[in-house]
Amino acid sequence: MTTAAFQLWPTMRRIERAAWSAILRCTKAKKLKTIPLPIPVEEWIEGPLGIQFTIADLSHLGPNVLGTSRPRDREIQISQTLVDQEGRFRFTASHELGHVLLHERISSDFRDFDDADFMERRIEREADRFAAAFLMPIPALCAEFANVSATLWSDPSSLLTAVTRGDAPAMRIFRASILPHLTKRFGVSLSAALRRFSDVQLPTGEPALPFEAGIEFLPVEQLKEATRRR
Amino acid sequence: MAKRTVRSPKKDPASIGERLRTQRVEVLGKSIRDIAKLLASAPIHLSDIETGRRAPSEELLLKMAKVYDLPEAELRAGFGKPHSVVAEVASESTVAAEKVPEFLRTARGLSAEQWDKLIKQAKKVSAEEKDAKP
Repeated sequence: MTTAAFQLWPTMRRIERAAWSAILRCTKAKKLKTIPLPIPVEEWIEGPLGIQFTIADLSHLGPNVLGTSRPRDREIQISQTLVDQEGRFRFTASHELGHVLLHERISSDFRDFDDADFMERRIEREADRFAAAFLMPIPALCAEFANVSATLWSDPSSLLTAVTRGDAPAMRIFRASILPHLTKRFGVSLSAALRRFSDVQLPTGEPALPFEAGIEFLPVEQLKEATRRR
Repeated sequence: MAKRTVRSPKKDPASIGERLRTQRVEVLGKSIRDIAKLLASAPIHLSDIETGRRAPSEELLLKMAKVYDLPEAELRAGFGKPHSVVAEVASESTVAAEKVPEFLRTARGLSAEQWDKLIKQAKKVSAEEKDAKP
């Protein structure tokens, strides 16, 4: 038995809850007992979440526009330039979903630029964090982390602490084996996985989410219980 | 094989597009990129077809009927793309070129049952014609 190594920053909880709520809505609608990984973003956006999702030429909006959303009309458009970039496509789609679910009252129209200046805006950061939370839900991330690290590190619960301390072997394992596994498992880019790790922190007290190493998915009911304990 | 009901009798790209989208999402549970792969087509092209901005080519329409599991006739009616035999028959002789449009104008708006009656009658006339030939 090992313990979880993640918890959320307090300011993140509203976004985390929104993403988790969307995931539960989809698993319930699809009658799923476990969370499928990678999260089927497009199928869930169009299916249980009832949002019109199209792939379009957005070049007329500017060279760096990757996606747009109209929360009030519940519409998302993703640039055709991303169709072969799996991680970026999924993240942009989830980012736009974040706008639809979080920002309906703020604006009727969002355009997302691949532009660092725009990404500094709070609203864009929120949509990014939503995307990370939707694609890499904490309970599943904990389970996967434990699953992969158990085979690579004698005490998986101490691995992240060792990484945070700058321990060279731990960092090597984390970068060479764990991150690639997680990016594949969650269908995200390396930068999205790293960003997700920056959104969570090591627990100072009791572990937030106890789990057993080696399990691939947590049952939905168990995940609900884990979320209630937060 | 069960006979499937044609639900979209009139040409309406927006309506047939929505029908395709509903079938893909609710029945097949596939994403636009999944379907595009199966059809060897670009996702943006399929997206445009489902939103009524474009119509499929003849070849794509036939593949779509199979992949979306919808009757070919429903797609033809929705996109206003008649079967090639219509043009073939209408242009096979001077008589046909004159009579087929007149016949089709007269038959416009017939129900499925009325069409069946008409086809039965046409078969009978055609058979009589063949029998009469030496």
